[in-house]
Amino acid sequence: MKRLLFIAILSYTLPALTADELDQEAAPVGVKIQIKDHIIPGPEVEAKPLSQGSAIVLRITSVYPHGDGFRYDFEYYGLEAGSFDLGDYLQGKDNKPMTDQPKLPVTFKSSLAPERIRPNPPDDEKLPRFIKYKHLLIFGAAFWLMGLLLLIFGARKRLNRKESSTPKLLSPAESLRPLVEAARKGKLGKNDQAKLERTLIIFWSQRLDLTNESPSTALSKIKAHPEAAPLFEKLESWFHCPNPKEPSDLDALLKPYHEPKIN
Amino acid sequence: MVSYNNHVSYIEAIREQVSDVVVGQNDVVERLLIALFTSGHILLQGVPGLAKTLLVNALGKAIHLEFSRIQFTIDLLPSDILGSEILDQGSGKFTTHKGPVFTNLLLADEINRAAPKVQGALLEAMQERKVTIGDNTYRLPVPFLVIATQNPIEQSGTFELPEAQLDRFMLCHRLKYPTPVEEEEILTRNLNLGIQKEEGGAVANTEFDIVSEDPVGEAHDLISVIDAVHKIHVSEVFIKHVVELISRTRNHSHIELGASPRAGIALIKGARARALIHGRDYAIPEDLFALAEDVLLHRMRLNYEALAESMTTIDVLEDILKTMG
Repeated sequence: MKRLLFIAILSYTLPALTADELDQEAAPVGVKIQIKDHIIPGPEVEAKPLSQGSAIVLRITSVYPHGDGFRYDFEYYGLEAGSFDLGDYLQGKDNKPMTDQPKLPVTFKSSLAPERIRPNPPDDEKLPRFIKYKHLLIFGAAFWLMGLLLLIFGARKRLNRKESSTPKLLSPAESLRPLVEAARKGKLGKNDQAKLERTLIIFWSQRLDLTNESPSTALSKIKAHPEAAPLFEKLESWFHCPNPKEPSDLDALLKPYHEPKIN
Repeated sequence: MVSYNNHVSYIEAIREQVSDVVVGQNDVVERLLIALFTSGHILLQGVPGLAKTLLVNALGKAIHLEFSRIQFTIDLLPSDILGSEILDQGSGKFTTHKGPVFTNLLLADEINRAAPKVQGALLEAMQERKVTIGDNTYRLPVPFLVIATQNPIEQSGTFELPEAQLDRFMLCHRLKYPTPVEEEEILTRNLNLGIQKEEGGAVANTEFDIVSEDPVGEAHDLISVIDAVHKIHVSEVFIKHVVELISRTRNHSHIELGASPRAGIALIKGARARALIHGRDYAIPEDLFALAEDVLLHRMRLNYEALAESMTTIDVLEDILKTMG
């Protein structure tokens, strides 16, 4: 009785041990699964090339000789939900016939509902009917142009305002008049003396057309000019000498510069 | 009362002796004399071959001054210039070895080739006129004039002198090429240099071989000139011109960094020396206009707008001088 019971248990568990993958939980579609060290007796096998209708993608990552057979490492993932046999995706190496096709049953489950084989189509988010993409572009360009014009005209207006607020530069002749008048009246301070001398240098460099010369050369040429030389000599001895003396003929000396004209 | 005629003839004699060797370069000689008479220092900017070394050598010998030359290189150390303490193995004591800075005329050739710490050491000695070696401080000989040179073209492997250090040079003169007439004279003189035979060999003479060893005047002549420069009258009006010029460099729309008060002092000192050289006992605007470029340009820095408009500091300075009403 005991022997019969042992044989019954053995006959029930033995097929389960030879096909251990049958008990594997159903794997999700698309998730990679690996089987290591699976022994298949007989000549070496290889994965069949992938075809249009393949429900499984199977790769053999490693093969080792094992007795009269081979030991394999498999890697596979399902493309469809359902139960399949990996043995259907194997073939003899170099198209050699397989002595005995192994049974490697696998099951894949899908996250989608059973009747749904494709994902949802994308939402069709259209712009409101009265705004087209072209309109958006035109609006953007107009806005950009308005900003640019605002910047240009705004900056110009500000520049004009700034220019009108700065005092108008006087010409050397205009600057000379009050200084010469003050000098002739004997009311020329040290600051005005310095200003008079500098303005006369500018006046003469413009009159002799020396504006393109270096300032040093221009001054040397002015001092060599027969008309300008006596004026500067007298001014220098008045302004810079250790014992300054106001020129006796100051009035006559500065008279031409009271109403000066640049030739 | 100082007899200016004697000073003028002394200066003329120096210029004549220098011109026996160096053709042209009258402005440079004048600037060197101004720096010497006012105890300033001068930076010469110019391409190689413009007789900078020869000029300084000739000037040194004409004024009977001691002359040293240092070729600045990247591996130069401050102790190579200033000197160092050396252990005397016989006595077991340290002895001081004074460097080439202990001279009257020091030519610092290509100053921008040395590392900043070497430039700093020299510039410190220039300002303080004393050098510390070990624990001892030594005063530099009087007069002490540094004539530094730098090549404005070749900038690779150089350390540009910052504005703060450039400011310590009273003058920065930009050397120009000689005129065609001067160039012809240089070549003609060079043809007649001849050779010197010695110890069974012969070697072609250079311009350095014809520099006269006889100095012009005596040490007291130089002292007298330096003293006379300090007696040159500077009027209140002239000072106002200087202040106006300096303040315009600070307020110009194209200048980021204007001239320092030291620049104003240098202008006054330089104008005094130039007045004496030209036989006057008072400074006039001509002195200011002549020296403005050499005193101010190296102290001014243009702003971004001016650089973007391809302006140079000389353009801006000329604009200031031409409109300084």
